[in-house]
Amino acid sequence: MKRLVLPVLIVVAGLLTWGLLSRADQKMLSPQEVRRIVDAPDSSSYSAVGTTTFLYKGKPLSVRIKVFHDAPDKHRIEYLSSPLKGVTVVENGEQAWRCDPQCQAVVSMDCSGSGRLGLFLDNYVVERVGSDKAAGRSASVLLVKSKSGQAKKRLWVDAKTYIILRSEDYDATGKVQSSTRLDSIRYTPVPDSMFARPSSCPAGPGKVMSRAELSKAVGFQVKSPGYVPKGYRIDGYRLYECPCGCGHKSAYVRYTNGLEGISVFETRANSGCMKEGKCDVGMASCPLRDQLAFTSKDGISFVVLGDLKLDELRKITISIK
Amino acid sequence: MTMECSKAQSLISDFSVGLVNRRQKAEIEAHLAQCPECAAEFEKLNKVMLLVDGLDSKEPPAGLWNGVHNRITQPESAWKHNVRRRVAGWSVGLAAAVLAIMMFFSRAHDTRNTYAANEYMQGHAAYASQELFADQAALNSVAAIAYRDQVGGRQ
Repeated sequence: MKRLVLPVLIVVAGLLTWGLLSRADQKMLSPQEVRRIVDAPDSSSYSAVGTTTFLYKGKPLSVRIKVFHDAPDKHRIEYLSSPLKGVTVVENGEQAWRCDPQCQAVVSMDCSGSGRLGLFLDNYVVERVGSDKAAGRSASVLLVKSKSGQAKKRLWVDAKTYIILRSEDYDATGKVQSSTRLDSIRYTPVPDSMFARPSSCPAGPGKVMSRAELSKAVGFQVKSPGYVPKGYRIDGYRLYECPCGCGHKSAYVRYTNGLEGISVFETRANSGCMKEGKCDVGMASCPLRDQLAFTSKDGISFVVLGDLKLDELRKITISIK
Repeated sequence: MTMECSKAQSLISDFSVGLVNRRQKAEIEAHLAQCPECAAEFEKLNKVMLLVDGLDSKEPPAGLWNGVHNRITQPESAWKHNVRRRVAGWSVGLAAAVLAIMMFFSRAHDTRNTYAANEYMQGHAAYASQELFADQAALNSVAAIAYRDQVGGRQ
């Protein structure tokens, strides 16, 4: 009898370990499953209504939205309530722009996108943490975590189409930074006219260039941080033109880890958006004021932005050379 | 034709903190490109500004005001009193001047940083909205509000 106890214990322990491991495997999404969510907008067109909430002056602010998506890459967001009522953001696969009737402005934005799945999978894992209802549909609840275990995003993904129906973003301290929730969604084609480019739309922002080309374009030697947190890779050197149309140009060096970015803007110390009659707002009005560090070296100003703790941003700023 | 050295030097401190208008800015930049003396002056001022940038605000030590109060209320001779009153007057004047200069520079820097922040936040948010799983609706809201903060005063 005694001789049987040890083999039985070994078999039981083995079964338990196998059970636990297989459960863990089920919980963690494979690269193919992650890819399916990333590629979902390529095959589903839809119209939806919802709410987006973000931090403004340190307080959460909610705005009602309408979202239109025409597969594979046309996207339109209409802001329906104050303070952004009337603002529209459109992306047609080649260019993105934002129309703001209050400012009578059309601002062009880059839509070349990073979208590096390999880099994302190097730095993050996606876990299935449950199921829920979102926008009236069955959804899988997924948690995107850094490999060190820090939660970055929670996603409610349509169980049939894999479209993201709800999302929550967490800041470097784990607090909710922004969220968007679709209340209803209709999978249906959207007419092309919804994505027509306005005639007043300015040319798109500069494309990626080499560091030498960018240095030539801005008239000074573009510098880089000697330190960026683990997992970040350079996303590109770009010429950044002030969106207000004043003509001010800066060097823009961007880093990404596949999910989040770090932006380093460089300009001559005494230049900047200098249009006369600028509004007199305090630093407190900066929506991302906790994600920004500033310094000047050798006559050049550096502004570093990223969803990192302030001491980490300062470390990057100090390391610029 | 660029401005004269005397005019450039009178505007150079305003220029160093971004408080000149576009026309003056262009004139000073053209002058600095041609005049090594004024360019050196400007470089010196920039170094001072960098030092000011690096200053932290300090809290007064605990008990400072009690100490000041005790000294004021102590009996003293008329001569000592007069000397002290003059020194105190000068000190207060000097301290006020230093404080005014520091407030001016810190405000100028804060304002300049704010515009830089609003200008660059839009770029940061726009590119962030292209990352995988980005919350485009929220990030574009941030960019739209930063834009309004930046241009709001001109509407």
